[in-house]
Amino acid sequence: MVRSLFSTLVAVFLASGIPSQIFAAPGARETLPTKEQIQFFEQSIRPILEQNCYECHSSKAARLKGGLSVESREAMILGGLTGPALLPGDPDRSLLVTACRQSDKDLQMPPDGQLTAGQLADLETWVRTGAPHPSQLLKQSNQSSSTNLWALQPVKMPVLPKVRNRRWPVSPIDFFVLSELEQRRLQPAQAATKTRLLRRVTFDLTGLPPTPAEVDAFVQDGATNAFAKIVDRLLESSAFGERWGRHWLDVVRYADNNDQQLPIFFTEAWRYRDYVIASFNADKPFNQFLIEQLAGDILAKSDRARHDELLIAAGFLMLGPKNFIQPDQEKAQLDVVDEQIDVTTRAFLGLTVACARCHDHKFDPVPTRDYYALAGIFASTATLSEQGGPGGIPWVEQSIGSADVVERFEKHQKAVDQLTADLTASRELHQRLPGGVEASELPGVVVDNLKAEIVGTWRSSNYATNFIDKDYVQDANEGKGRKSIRFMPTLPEPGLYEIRASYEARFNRATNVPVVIQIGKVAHRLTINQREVPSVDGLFVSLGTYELPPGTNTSVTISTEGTKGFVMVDAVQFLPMDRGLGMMAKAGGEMMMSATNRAKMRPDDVSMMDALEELKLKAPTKPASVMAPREGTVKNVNLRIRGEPERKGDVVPRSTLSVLSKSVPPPVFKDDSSGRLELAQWMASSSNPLTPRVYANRVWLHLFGRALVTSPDNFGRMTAPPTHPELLDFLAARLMEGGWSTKKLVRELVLSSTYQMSGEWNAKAAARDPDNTFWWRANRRRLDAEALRDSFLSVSGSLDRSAGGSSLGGVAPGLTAPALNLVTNVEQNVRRSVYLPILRGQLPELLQAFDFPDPQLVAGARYVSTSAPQALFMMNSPFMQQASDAWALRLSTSKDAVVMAYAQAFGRAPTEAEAGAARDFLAHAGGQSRETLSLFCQALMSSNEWQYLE
Amino acid sequence: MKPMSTPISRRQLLRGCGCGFGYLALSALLAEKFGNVHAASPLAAHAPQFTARAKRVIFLFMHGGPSHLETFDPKPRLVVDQGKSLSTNNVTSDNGSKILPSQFAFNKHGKSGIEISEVFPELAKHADDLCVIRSMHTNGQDHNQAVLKLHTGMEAQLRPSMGAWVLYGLGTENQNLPGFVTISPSPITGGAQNYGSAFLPAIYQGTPIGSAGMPLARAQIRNIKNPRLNPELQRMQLDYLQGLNRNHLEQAHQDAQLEATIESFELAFRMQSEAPQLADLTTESEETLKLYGINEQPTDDFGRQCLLARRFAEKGVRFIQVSHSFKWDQHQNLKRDTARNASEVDKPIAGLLADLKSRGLLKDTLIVWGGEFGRTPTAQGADGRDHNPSGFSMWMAGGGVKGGHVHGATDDFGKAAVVDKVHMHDLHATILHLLGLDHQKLTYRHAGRDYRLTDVYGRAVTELLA
Repeated sequence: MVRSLFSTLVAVFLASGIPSQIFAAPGARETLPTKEQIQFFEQSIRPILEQNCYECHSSKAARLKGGLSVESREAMILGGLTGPALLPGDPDRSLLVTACRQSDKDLQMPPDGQLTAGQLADLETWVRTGAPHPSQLLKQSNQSSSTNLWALQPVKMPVLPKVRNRRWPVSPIDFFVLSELEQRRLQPAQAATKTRLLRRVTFDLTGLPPTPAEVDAFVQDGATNAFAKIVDRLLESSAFGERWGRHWLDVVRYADNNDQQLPIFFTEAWRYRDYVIASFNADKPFNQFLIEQLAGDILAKSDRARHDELLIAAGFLMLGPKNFIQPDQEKAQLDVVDEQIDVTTRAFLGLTVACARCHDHKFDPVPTRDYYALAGIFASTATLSEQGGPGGIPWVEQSIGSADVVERFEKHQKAVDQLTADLTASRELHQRLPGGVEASELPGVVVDNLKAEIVGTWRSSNYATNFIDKDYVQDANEGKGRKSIRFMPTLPEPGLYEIRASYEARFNRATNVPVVIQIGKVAHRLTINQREVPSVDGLFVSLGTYELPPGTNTSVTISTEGTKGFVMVDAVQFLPMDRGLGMMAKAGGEMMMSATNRAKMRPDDVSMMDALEELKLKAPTKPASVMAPREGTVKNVNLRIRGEPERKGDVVPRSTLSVLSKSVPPPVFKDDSSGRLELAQWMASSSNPLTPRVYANRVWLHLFGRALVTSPDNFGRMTAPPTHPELLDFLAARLMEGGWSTKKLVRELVLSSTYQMSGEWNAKAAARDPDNTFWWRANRRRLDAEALRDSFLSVSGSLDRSAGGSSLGGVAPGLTAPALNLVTNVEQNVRRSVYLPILRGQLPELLQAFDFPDPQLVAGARYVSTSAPQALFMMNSPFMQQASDAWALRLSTSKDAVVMAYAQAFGRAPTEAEAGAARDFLAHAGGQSRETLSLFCQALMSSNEWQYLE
Repeated sequence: MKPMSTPISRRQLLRGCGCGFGYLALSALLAEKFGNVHAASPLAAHAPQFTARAKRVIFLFMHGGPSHLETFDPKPRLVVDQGKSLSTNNVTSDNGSKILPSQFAFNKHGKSGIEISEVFPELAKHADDLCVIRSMHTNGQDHNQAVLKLHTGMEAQLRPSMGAWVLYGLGTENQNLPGFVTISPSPITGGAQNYGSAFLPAIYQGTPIGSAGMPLARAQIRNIKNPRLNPELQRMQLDYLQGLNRNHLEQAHQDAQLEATIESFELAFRMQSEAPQLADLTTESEETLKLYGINEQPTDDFGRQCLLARRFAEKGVRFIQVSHSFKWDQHQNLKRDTARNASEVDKPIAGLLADLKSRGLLKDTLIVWGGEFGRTPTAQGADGRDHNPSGFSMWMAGGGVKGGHVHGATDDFGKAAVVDKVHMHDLHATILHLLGLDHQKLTYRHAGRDYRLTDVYGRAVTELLA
C-alpha cells in the first residue's frame, strides 16, 4: 500500500510537471511559498478543498460542521472540535490527511466519497512541503515578489550540465535534456527510423510530406551527413517560409477582414502575409523582423530600396479587429491602442500588459502607469483614418509600388480607357435607340430613381443607353454635398440580399461616390468609382451581401459629398439569395442580363463590352495602397481611472516597461516622433530577457509539439515556468549568438539527438513521466489543419504550389460581406492552406474543424481536439471525396496501386498483412474500379498513421 | 462525488469490449496541456458543482428585440398619456417623441393571473408555468452589441457563448449527438460567435443545424450524410480504416489521442444514423405534430424547430437554442408584425411546454424565452418602437423556476427596469445556478487570467427558484 502510494505520488508529480523546487520544502516551512508552490496549491489543492470540503467547512456552509473551516491556512491550523486539522510539514499528524486517507473508521472525509489516489498524494505532498498557501503572501508586497519573476532575469548562457551517457548527446541541447532525464533515472528512446524521421522533419519544416523519391534517396544515403543535407534542403525550400510564416500569422491574429460584426475586407492584408513568408524564407534576423513590424513605416521614409516592404511590415499593427461603429472617436482610438498593446506585448514579450488597462496587473509587475506609458506611443501613431467620412476607408493606408509596376498598370489602363471611350462614343452615337433596361425584367426588388427620395437638384437624363427604366439622374457636378438620393425598398422577406447599384461609367464621373447602406441602426459606408464600368453586365456594381430585415428598415443613400466629377444615380437592386448550404451558387457576378435587355443593346456595343470585360480580366497588378500606420500627433496620454476613457488621471510620459528599466534602460522619447521605433529597438535589444526567450520557446514548440513554457504568449507569474529553464536560456542565448537567425536555431534543434528520438513506448519511463515532460521519447503529434489539407492535396497530386497574391479574388476595397462566395469557393481552391482567405467569422471548413485558432486572438499555441465533426468531415465532405478521387485517378495507372499508395502516403511499403487487408477491402467493396480505389484512398487519408506524426 | 477517470488503460478496456469501441467517451489531449479541469474526457457528463434544478436548457431566441409593451408588460399609463412627449434615453431616436399605447389588450391568465397580451393566446394557457421577468436590462443599443451580450456576456470582445460555457461545465449526456446545438441560427449580428467557443477548446462550440431563413425540413448537421455510399459500404470502408488504426495503435501501445480518434469515427458513424433519425419528424404522432402547429401555417417552421428541440432534449443534449429569425425588430408596422411574429411562435411554444410536461421533461428542462432587448414606450414614426436595452421582459419555465410568477417591474411607462432589476449578467448567473454551476467558479484560464461568462458581474436571482 505504502509502496504503491509512493509510486503514484511520483507519477502525479511528474505528470503535473511540477518543478523540482517544490520537493525542496522540508525546512523551508517558515519561508514564503514560491510561485510554483502557489500554483500547485491553486491547481491541485484548492479544487480538492472546494469540491469536497467547502460545503460544510467554509463560509458557504450554513453552520460550520465540527467547527472547522478549511478556507485559510490559519483556520486549518487552528482546527475544529477534534483538534488542529493541519500540521504543516507532517501529513501523518494532520487530521485533514488522516480523514482523507479513510484509514481511521471514525474519521472519514469526504463523507460521501473518496479522494483519488492522485488527489490524496497531492494533499500529502502539500502538507509535507509546509502547506504553502497564498494567504502567506498577502502580507508581502505584490510588487516586490513579482519582480523576481524568472522570465525577467537576464538571459545567461548556461554551463553544460554533466551527464553519464556520453554517446547519446550530439548537441548542447541534448546535454540539457539528458541531464534532466538522468536525474529521474530515465533514458532517451532509440533514434527514429529513417523513414519516420524524414516524414517528421519534412512536415515540421515545410508542412508537406516527403515524396517516395525523397524517401528512397535518404534511405539509401549512408553518408554521416545525410540528414544534415536533408535539413539544409528543406530550410532552403520556399515551403519553409509558408510553414513557419503561418506559425507567426497565428501569433499576430492575421485575417483578411475586420471582424464578424463589420466584416470589411482587408483587401491588401495578403501583402503582409507574403512579407511574413518571404521574411522567413530569407531568414530575416528576428530582431530586425520585430522592428520592421512595429516601426516599418518610420524606417521606410529613409530606405527607398526597401520602402514598400517596410510599409507592408508595419501592417502588423493594423490587422486587429476594430469597432468602426464606435461613435466616440477617443474611445475608438483607446480601443485600437489597447489591441495594439495587447498583440505587441504578447507576441514579442510574452506579457499580458493589456491587463493593466484598468488596474495594476494582478499578478505581474506591470502597473497601470506602464500601460499608459505604452499607450502614449501607440496613441501618437495614426491607425484609424483621420478623414474618415462617408466612403473613406476607415483606417490609414499608404501607397506602394515600384516604377515598373506603375508603368505596366498605366499601359493597361490606357487600353481600357481607349476601349471604354470607344464604347461610350458608340453609345452616344446611338443614343436615340431605345434605351432603358426594364426593371421588371430584373430579378429581386429594383428601386428606380423615380421611386427614390431625392434631396437637392438633380437632372434627369436618358443620354446614356445603359440604364434602368425611363431615365437616370446626375448632379451636374455642382452643389456637392447638398444632394443625395435615398432608395428604400419594401422587402417581402428577411434574409440575405446582395445589394447592387446601377450607373453607367464615363470619364467625367466621380471616383468616390459615397454610399451609405443603413440597416436598422447600423450604417455601412462605401464608395463607388463611377469611371469603372460596373462589373455585373455593365449595369450593376455589387455593394455586398447583407442580412436584411423585412419591410422598409433598409435604405441605400447615394450622395455627392466630397466628390469630383459627375455623380450618376439610376437604380438600386436587392437580390435575394437562397440561404441553403452551398448557397450563393446562383448569385454573384454570373447572372446574365436577360435576353430581352441584352437585345436592346447594339451588337457592336455588346461585343465591345465583352472585349472590355476580357481586357479587365487581364489587368496587371495595380499599384496599391497598403494598410500601414503613420506617425500621428505626438502626445502623452492621461492615465484612465479604471480604464474609463472619461475618467482622466495624470498625464503619463511615454516609456517602456518599468520592471525592466534596470536591465534594459528606457530610450529617450522625442517630441517629434511617436517613439515606436525606440520601443521596437528596446524590445529587440539583446539585453531584453523576454524577446529572445519568448521567440526561442515558440521555435521549440513548433518542432517538439509542446513548448518549454506551455503558455507561449504569457510568461507571467500565473503560468507554469519552463520545464527546462536552462535549456530555454541556452536557446535564447544561441538565437542571439546566431544573429537572431531562425533557420540556424531550427537547424541546431533538428540535428540534435533529442529531436531524432523515436516515439517508442517504454512502460517504465511512462510510469515515471507519463506526460513525457522530460522528453524521454518523441511526442506523437497530430498534423495541424494546414498540414492535413496540404498533404491531402499533395499526395493526391492536386496541390497548386503557386505562391503569394491576394486570396480574395479582386474584392473591391472597403466592401463588407459577400464573403460566403469566397468560402464556398475554397472547395475548388487547391493552393496551399496559407493562401486561403482567412475571414473572421467564416473560416474555411477544414481549418475550422481542425482547430485553426480564432483569428481575432493572439494564438501562439493551438489546441488539439478530437471530435466527431472532424470524423464526419473525413467521411463525408466533398473536399475529401475530391481529394480521394484525384488520388485514385493518379494511382489507377500504376502497376500495384496498393504498394504505390503506401509509398506516397507513408513513405514505406505495406506489410504483407496490410497489403492483404487492402486487397480484401478492394475486392469486397467492388473490385479495382476507380470508385472503389477512391474509397481505399479516403481510408488511408483518414487513418491515424496519416494524421499523426511519429 | 465526481466520477474519476478509470485507472485501467483504455486499451485494456478496448480488449475487454471485444470489437466494440462503443463505450469510450470522446477525448481530447488539451486537458493536461492547457490545464483545464476535465482531465480525460471533456465532453463526458460530469456532476455539477452543486445540486442542479435543471439538466438542460432550451433557449427560445426571439431575434430583433420583441416589444415587452406588446407582450408581457402591460402599461395602462401609456393609454392615459398617449401622444404626450416622453424623453427616452435612447441615443438615436428623437428625444421627446410621443407615447404610444400598447397595440394589444392584456388579460389575466391562469390561477396566478399573470397578464399576457392577446398575441399569445396559446402560451397564455401555460401562464401558471411561466416565471416572467419584467425587469430585464442589458447593454448594447444596437443589435450586434445586445445580441452578443445575450449570447456571450460581452457586447464587443470575443468571448465563449453561453452554451459553450454550459457544455464546458457539465459535459453532455449523449455522446452520439453534439452537446450543444443551435437550430436555425442567424448568420448576422454575431453570427457564429453566438454559439462559438472563442478561447475555450473548440469541442465546446455549438453545432448549427440549418440557418435562419432556411426551411428546417432541409436543415442538416454539416457532412452528416455521405452523398455516395450506402451505409453498408461505408461501414465496410470504416471497418477497413479502423483495422488500420487498431494495428497502428497496437504498435503505439498506449495512446489516448489515437484511441480518441478511433472513437470519434465510431461516434460520427452513429451520429450519421442518429441525427437524421432525430430530424425525421414523421415518427411523431399526428397529435403531436398538431400540438406544435406543424403542417399548418404560419406555425409549421417554428413548430418543427420546437419539436426538434424537444427531441434533442429527450436524447440528453445539454443546450439547445431555437431561433426565431431576425423578425422582432418593429421600427414600424408594430401592430401587424408583432401579431404576425407571435402567431408564428405562440402555438409551437405552447406545444413545447405541454409536450415536455406530459413527458415529464419540463421539471428538469429550463426554457428561456426572449430577445436581445425591448422597445421604447414612445413611437418611432407612426407605427413603430425603437430599441430599448434599459427595460424589457423575458420569461423562464420548467427546470426549477417558480411557475405563475412575475419578478420585477419597469417604471409606469415601461421605459426602464426599476424594481428588482435583472441584468443580462444576472440572467446568465441564474441559468448557470439552475444547472448547478456557480457563475463565479465556472472559470477558464486564458491570456493570463481567469474568464467567466459573467465577467466580474452577475448575481444568481434566487428569488426565481421554485
